[in-house]
This record gives sequence, C-alpha cells and structure tokens, in this order.
Amino acid sequence: MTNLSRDPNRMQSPKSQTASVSQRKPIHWVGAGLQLLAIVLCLEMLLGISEGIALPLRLFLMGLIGTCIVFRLGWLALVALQISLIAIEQRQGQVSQYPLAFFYGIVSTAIIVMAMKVPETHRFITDYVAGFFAAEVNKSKQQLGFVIGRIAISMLQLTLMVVIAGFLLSRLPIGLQAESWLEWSRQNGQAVWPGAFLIVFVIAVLVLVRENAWRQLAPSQAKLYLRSVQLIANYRDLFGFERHRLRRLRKNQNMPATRTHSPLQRPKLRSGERRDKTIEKGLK
Amino acid sequence: MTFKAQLFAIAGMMGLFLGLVRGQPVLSLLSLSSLLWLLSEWLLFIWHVRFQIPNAKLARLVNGESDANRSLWSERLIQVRIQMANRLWLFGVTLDVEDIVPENLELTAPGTNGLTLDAIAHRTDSKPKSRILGPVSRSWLIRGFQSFMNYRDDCPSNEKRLELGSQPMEWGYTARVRAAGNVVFPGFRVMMQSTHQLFRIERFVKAEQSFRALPNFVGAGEYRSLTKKSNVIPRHGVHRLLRSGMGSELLELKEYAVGDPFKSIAWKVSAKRDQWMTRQYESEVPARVQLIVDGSSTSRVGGFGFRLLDQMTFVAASVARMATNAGDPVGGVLMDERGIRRIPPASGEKGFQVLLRSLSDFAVNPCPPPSPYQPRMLDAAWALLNQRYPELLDLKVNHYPFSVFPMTPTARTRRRQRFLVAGALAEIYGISVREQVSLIHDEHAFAMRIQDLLNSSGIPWITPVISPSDRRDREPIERMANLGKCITSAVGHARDNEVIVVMSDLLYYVGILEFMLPAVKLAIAKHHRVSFVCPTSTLLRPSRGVSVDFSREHSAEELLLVAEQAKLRIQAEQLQRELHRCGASLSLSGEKNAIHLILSELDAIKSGNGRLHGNLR
Repeated sequence: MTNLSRDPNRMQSPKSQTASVSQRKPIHWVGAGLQLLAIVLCLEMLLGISEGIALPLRLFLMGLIGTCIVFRLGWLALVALQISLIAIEQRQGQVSQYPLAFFYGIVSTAIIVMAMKVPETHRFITDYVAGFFAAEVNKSKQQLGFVIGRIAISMLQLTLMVVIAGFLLSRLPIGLQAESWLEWSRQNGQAVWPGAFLIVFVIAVLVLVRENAWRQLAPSQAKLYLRSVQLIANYRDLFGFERHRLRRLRKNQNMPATRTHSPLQRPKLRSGERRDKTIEKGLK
Repeated sequence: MTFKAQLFAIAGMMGLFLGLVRGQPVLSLLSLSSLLWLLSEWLLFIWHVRFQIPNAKLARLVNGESDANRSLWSERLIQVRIQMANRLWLFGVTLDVEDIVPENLELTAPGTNGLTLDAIAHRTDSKPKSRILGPVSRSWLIRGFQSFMNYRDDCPSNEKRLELGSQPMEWGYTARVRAAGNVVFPGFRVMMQSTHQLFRIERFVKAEQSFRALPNFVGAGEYRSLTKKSNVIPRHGVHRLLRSGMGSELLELKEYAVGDPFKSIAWKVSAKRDQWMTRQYESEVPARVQLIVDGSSTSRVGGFGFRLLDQMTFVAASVARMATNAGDPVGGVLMDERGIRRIPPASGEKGFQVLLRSLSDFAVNPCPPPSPYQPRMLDAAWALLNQRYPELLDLKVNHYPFSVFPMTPTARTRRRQRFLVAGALAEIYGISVREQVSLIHDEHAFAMRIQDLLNSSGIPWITPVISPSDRRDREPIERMANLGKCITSAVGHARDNEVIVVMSDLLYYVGILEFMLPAVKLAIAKHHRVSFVCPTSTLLRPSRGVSVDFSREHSAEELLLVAEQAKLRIQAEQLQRELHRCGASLSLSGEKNAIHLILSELDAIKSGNGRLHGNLR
C-alpha cells in the first residue's frame, strides 16, 4: 500500500548535483604509476649518495618510504630518511663541508612534504594530463600555471627553511665549531656557549605561542577553562559531597515515605538536650 | 596541532638530538629543516585563523528568502543556497564549510527520490535514525589507497571545500522536509586545516534560522460510490439540520406575515386553506468537523515523517482542506501530556491556516519523558557536541582530573568522554561546578540533561533520546480518560449534528476502552458522527488472511512482519467490535482511506444518512 504522504511521484526529481568520480580513466592509473616511479628513483638517488648502506637495508627503506607516501605518513618518511642517514653518514662532519648537503636537505624535505599532500599533488597532475589528452588546452594551461606557481612557492619555502637551518647549524658551536667558538669567547670575554641567548629566545617564543593561544579562545571556552580549573582544584571535596548526597538519596528511596528513621535506632540528641530514660527503656 | 603534526615534531626533535650528539650534520640539517618547516606552516596557519576566518561572512537563503519568519510545507522540496560574501586569501590551508542540516530535513541525492536506506531504517525502527550518529567507517588500508589514487567520494551537497584564493561564491542543495513541526537551521560548521593536515581548528558559526513546517495535505479524489447502495432516508431519530434560509429545498409552510416576499407565497395551498401561506426553504448550513488529535508520547516516538503523529497531522490537514473547500468549518482539540488545547471551528482560508499553524506547533516534540541512562546517550551527546560545540570539547580548555585507578582503555575513554560532555553541558546550560560533578556521578541527572540537549537540538525521539522501555504509555487509563474528556468537550461545544474525528493510536488500548466509550456514546446520542482514525506504526494496514506458507523458507523479517500483522489484525478486530457496538466508525490507517471515511461521514451528516456507522476501513 502506498502512503500518500510518501508518494514518490509527487516529488520532483532533483537534478544531478555531484558527479561520481569512482570510475577512473586508465590515464589516471598510468599517471599514478609514473608518479610513484619518479619518487622511487629520487629516493634511490638520495639513498645512494653514500655507498656505505647495504642493499637489503636500502630496499627496505625505499619500500618503507614508498608506503609512507601512499598512506600519507610524512612523519614515518622522515623517520625512514633519518634511519638511512644514521646508517650511512659519517660522524664529526660539518654542513659546509658537504656541497650536496643543502641539495639533499631540500630534496628530502620536499619528498616528506609531498608524502603529506600526495592526493592534492596527484590530483593536479592527473587532471592536467587528462585535460591535455582531452584537448582542453586552455583549461590545461590554466591548471599548469596554477600547479607550477604552487610548487614554486612551496619549493621556495622549503629552500628558505633549509638555508636557515644550515645557517643556524653552522653558527652554533656544535661539533667542530665548538673550539673556534671557545677561542672567540675567551678573546672577547663572552659566554662560553650562547645558552643564555637561546633560553631567552625559547622563552619568548613560548610566551608568544601561549599568548596567541589565549587570544584565540572564544568567551565560552574561557569560561569553560575557568570552570575546569575550579573543578580540578575542588574535585575531591565535590566528589565527596556528591557521593554523600547520592547515598542519602538512595537510602531515602528505599525507606517508607512516612518514617524518617528506624524505630530501633536511637535518635541523635541535639546539643544541650537530655535523653529521657523512659524513652530509652521503651526502646530497649 | 593534530596527532600527525605531533609525531612529525617528535621525529624531528629526536633526529636533531641524535644528529647533534653523534655529530652528523646532514641528519641535523634534515631534522632542523623539518622542524623549521613545521614552524613556518604553523605561523601561516595562525595568520589564516586570525585574519581570514573572521572575514568569512556566510548567509543562507531558503527558497530564495533569508527571512526566518516563513513557513515551509512538509513532504515538499526546498532549495537552500549558501552565500559566501567575502574573498578569502587562502594559501596553504583549506576551509571546509558545512551547513548543518536539521534532522527534519532529508537531503535529496541524485536518483533517490523514493525511499532511501535511511528511510527504510526509520521504517524498520531497528537502527538509530539520527544523522549525527557517525559515518560509515572504512579500513585504513582502503583509505590509504583511495587517497593515493585520488578517489573522491561524493561530497554531500551541504558541504563545500574552499581552497586557494576562493572568490565570493554560492552553492546550495535541495532537501525535503520530513514532517510537520519546525525546521531549525542551527548554523555552519567551519573547519580550517593546513593542506598537510598538520593543524586544524574547528568552529561552529551560529546562524540560526527557524521555520515552521506546515503539515502536508492532498486532495482525496472521488470517494463517493457511483451506484446507490441504500436508501437515503434518515434512520429513526436521526434528523437533518433544519433551519430556514435561502436554500432550494422546501422546509415548511407557514402563515403569511408582513414582509414576506410575494414570490414565496404558495398559491395553491393558500387557495385551499383560504389563508395566505408562504413557503419556507431550508438553509444550507455547513456541517462542522471537530478533529481530536492525540499527541501523547507514544505517538511521537520515531524518526520525523514516521511518527504516528505525522500520519495524524497529514489526515487532519487533508480533511481540513477538503472541508474548507466545501465551506464547512473545521475545529480541533489537541491533546497530549501537556494538556488539552481547543481550536475554535472556523471556515475559510484564514481558519484553515490557523488550524495548520496549530497542528504544526503541536507536532514539535516537547521535552521527552525521563529515561534511564544508557551508554548510547553518551555516544549521541558526544557526536552532537562534536558537531555543534567542537570548541567546548577542546582538551586545552576542558580539563578533567586524572585518575590513577587502573582501568581498561575503553573504560578510560568513556570516563574522559563523560567528563568532557559534562563540562560542555555545564557550560551550555550555565550550571554550577557542583551540579557539573552531579552530572558526572549521577546517571539520572546526566541522562536528563542529555535528553534535553538532544531534543532541543531537533533530534527525534529515537533510541538514544528515549529508551525502548519507555515507548509504551505509562498511564494508559489516564490517557483514555483524557480522550473521553476531549470528546465530551467537543460535544459540549458542538451545535448540532457534527462529525467528531478522533485520531489516536488505540490498538494497544483495546482492554481499557471503557474509560473513553461513555463519551463516544454521549456524542452519538447527541446525533453526532464519531470516526476514529488509528494509524499503525508499521505504515501497513493489517490485512486479512495473513498466513505463512511453511512449504518454503522465510526470512526472519518476513516472519516478524507476518506475526506483527496477525497481532495487529486481532487487536484491530477487537477495537472495531468495541467501537461498532457504540456506532462509531474506524479507519486503521493514516492514509487516503481515513480521509475518505471522514469525508463520507461528512456527506452522511449533511444528508442525514446513517449507513456508514460502524464501518471498518
């Protein structure tokens, strides 16, 4: 039996709103395979920068990093690269001594970043390739410009970060720089290590971060924070009160409504009140 | 900072530490570069949060109007458009905007203009029917491959992802109003996250718009039989409403009085009686309809559009429409646990609109009866708070005491959720810290608050809101007595032969009908017509001859349906027998048959015919 109120014929059929993308074209699979192959080749180049790593370990690390890229695990890709570096890099070196160090840093960081945003990158590439083959030249050109601009900005950001990191590592008294720093500080009467400066810097950054977090709070969040602090400070006492209240409530619910205490129970005396012995005899 | 970012930072710091201790410069460089990159992403994200989100101005148009004081119609489609007025300079972040769709709305997907799976779940009443109760989870393996292969799931049309340099834009969706009541759009859920998903912030932007959803109605079509089945002479004791007026049927002859029109003089009779006589004509007085709608708690259980009350409001609105078209006044008595409210009979379009508005307000669920605490309540509250108040579940502001008491991880998670939900509830309702502790340890108080939260957020009375044990009426005798009072009140306000329609789920109250039947007998003794409309929860009328063919195998659902039908049939026959003795008619559906029955009664009362009494449709 058809319910009138739910008669489907009375409802207009809505137009198609979203197109299903579950049916992928073969070109997308080819693009994905090529992209993964390029990443693997890049990794091979990075991991093969030194000859000291064994082939099984190299293959394992490549597989691990490839898996991380597929499953968007950028932090694990970083760990994998760190493991490879621990295994192959020589000790007591300096950043400035390796001309390829900066290049290595930029490329490896880029791979880590790409591992985190691989769907977006992949989407741009596959859409561009698909548009190119579909003869949508104008659209492909727009997309290509967009992709190139975005990649250029990201690479600029990464390069800047690597340069800053290299500058900090070369300036701070770490490794071989420690002796020259010590020499310089003795001659100029400065601190042996710039710890004081670093501590002040770190505290300033922490204050900045905390202040920013406070300023982002909505009024309801600020009230809830104060409430939480009060709750934690007085939780034991409040919990005791609540437990006592619940116990009393439970007891009252079990007892008859007309009687407040058991007749065999001795009622408590108020201060200054004397117990009547006749009542006590009666109770006994 | 997300968990992914925390892992990334820990890996970077560990690598930097090892690189410095072991004196490996490239390792140090890589780790420090990663940390600095993370810092730069955080600064970029903070800049967006501070300067971009406040610039976002969102507006919602429902059917092209931004005014909230308008009415929608249930069971009809509405167009919702979302407008974003400002241009956002989003770089390195994405902004997800979701218009929270109220539970009384059903998003229409392409190709699903019939019953959806969700609707079937509502019908079988076996699953929670709330949209907030979690999406379908997929395994991490499938998600990983799909993310790499760029499988994009069909995004719901009420959501939109904004990326780099988004222009002022507009998007929208189509939805269907499920039932009469109200439709409250609470606001937008905005989530900004970096493209690498390292930092995320969620906010709920309140943009409340409330609409009244009027009950739907249909034209009943032709309901009269083409063949004459019985004589139309009224039964003994039943008389037509006879008043003098300007109708066409002759009422009586009377002596001429000064002022009577000459054209009404009966010449032949005057000649015979040798006295001036004039003809009096009948007045075509409309027949009044009194609709008694029983909105007790049992009729409100279920998802929107699948409640018994929705069927009742549908029948009531349809009958009112037909009666209004025929010029008959329609009144109503609305009854539930809150009391009895009477709507005076009125005719015309204005009266019809008043009745519809009253039915719509009546269909809004009140505070549900208290239910015992059940763990699903916590799940529902957690999901709802995550959707509407994500900022209150932030662990930075909603602290809870740590317990050294050993417990399983699941129990520890439940404890954490309970503390956080209690904190958020305390903030929403503005209660003291002492009462907050009561919420944590007193299950009764906690359950009541959660019920209130879910109900006020527009969640229907389904399992988390109301427990299955509370779906039966707690005081059935009082309910029957109140129904009798309503009928008596309707009789008291009635003038002459009227049609009194009682809409109530009486199937489970056959044994205690004697508390209501005296009022029915009184109404019939006063020459009124009484019709009962009794909608069933399964949306199926109990059919005759339900049997099971044991020669073939049946599924559990089929057997359950057959058993339920058989049970319903027995109850329906008992109910019909009881009402037939009194002379009332009964319809066991909230559909076209019920409307036909009432309209036939209306016709019968106009003609004075009594043949419809006691019919079962």
